[in-house]
Amino acid sequence: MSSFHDHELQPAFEAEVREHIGQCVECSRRLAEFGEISRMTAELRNPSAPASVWPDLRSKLDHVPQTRPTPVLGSIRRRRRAFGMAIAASLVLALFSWGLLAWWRQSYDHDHISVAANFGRYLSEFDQNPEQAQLALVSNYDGRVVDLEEAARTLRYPPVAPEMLPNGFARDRIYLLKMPCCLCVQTIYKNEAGDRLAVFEHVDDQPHWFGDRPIVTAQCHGTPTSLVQVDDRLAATWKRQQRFITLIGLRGVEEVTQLVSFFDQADSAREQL
Amino acid sequence: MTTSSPSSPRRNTSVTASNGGDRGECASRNTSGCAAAVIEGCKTGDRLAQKELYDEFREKIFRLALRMVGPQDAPDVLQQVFLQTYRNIRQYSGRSSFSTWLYRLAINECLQFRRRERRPGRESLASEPIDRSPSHAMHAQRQELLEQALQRLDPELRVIFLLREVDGLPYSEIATALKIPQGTVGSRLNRARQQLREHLVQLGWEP
Repeated sequence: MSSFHDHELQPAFEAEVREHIGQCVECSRRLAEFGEISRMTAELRNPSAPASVWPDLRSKLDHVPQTRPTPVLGSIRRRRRAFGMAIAASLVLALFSWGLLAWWRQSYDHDHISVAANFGRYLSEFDQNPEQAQLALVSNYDGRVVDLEEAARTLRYPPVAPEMLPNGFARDRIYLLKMPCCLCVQTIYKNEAGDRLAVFEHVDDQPHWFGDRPIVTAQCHGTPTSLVQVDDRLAATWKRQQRFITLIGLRGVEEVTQLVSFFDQADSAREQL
Repeated sequence: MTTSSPSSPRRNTSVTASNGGDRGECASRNTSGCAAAVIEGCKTGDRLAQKELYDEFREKIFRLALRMVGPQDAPDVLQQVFLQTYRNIRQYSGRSSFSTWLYRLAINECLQFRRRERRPGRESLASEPIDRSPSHAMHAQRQELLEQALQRLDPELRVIFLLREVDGLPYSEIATALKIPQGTVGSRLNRARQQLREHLVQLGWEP
């Protein structure tokens, strides 16, 4: 919603969100409130910086030496000692740098930037080259195919992986992925038209999976849902009970709403049992 | 560092001399929003260049500090930000815009100050004397509410809200200044606005 309010969405996505807001009372109300808060902020008084700051600052600057004095060594002995210390310092620095580099390399895979890059590639290739995208993801995150029972046993909770989803999507495979955030379950669905959906269930919200792509939040079936445009498809994330669901490969906001509603009803039905 | 300020006493003398020629005033601004020559002047410790840089950015940084640390401490933080700027300006490589680099430094200074002092944002600007005439009552009340609500907002969310709403920075610059992905800027802004709305309602705001 903020990205839409701030005109930070891509034009095509902006038009889609505008259409949704036109039909959604909740989003429309929230957008109006954002606008009102912006107007109030624009009216805030902004007192000027006190005139006394610069004289104080200048006085402090005048007492700080601008250039370091060039060291002058008085004797050959002192020069040799300085040279030896410089060599020793260089060695320590080199060892420290090597250690730091090793540590950095080890932890790099766990860095958000790395996840954003890997997941960015997965998103980009999901539509055109899904098998290759999946292979790369499995390879990067030590993924393996599991059945529902094994997934539940390993995760210690029943993952969200119904056999069928709306629009004729049938469960194809379940993967367990060792993502930096958590042990993540991914379920791939396919329908007869050849479309695919990927459903991820993870412990925390993972906005950095989408890198620099703008994220907009909308109310889908009354649930705050983060939407990201990936080429001509959408990715959606929402919180379901204690975990988050991320869907990749959605064709529009309507389909997102349909699926949020589907999972919600499935949860309600399970609770009634 | 405005181009049209006739009263600006700026350099022409020592600054020009120190650079071996006219720096072209601020007419030839680079993408940083600040003339490269001024930055170069600051790197050599040129006092007039430092003053020019200060004049260019002081209000923006003061505005931010005001709402991050409160009116009592904002002048100290402003001074500290510029001291740090002049000390570290040689590290500015030009990869991001200068204002983004400066904002990053200012944000760190504000957050560090808050941690160091271990006290909340304390008094808001609303506690300062303001015009209480009837024509201004409603306007002032709205301002007071917003200032109070802002003080209740988590500092990490407050800073992102201020950068966007008060300083008008695009998401890309906010992302660079805070070293977070651009997508996260949107989601955090969303959270900031929603929390701000909740605080406003608690304070009696009727949307």
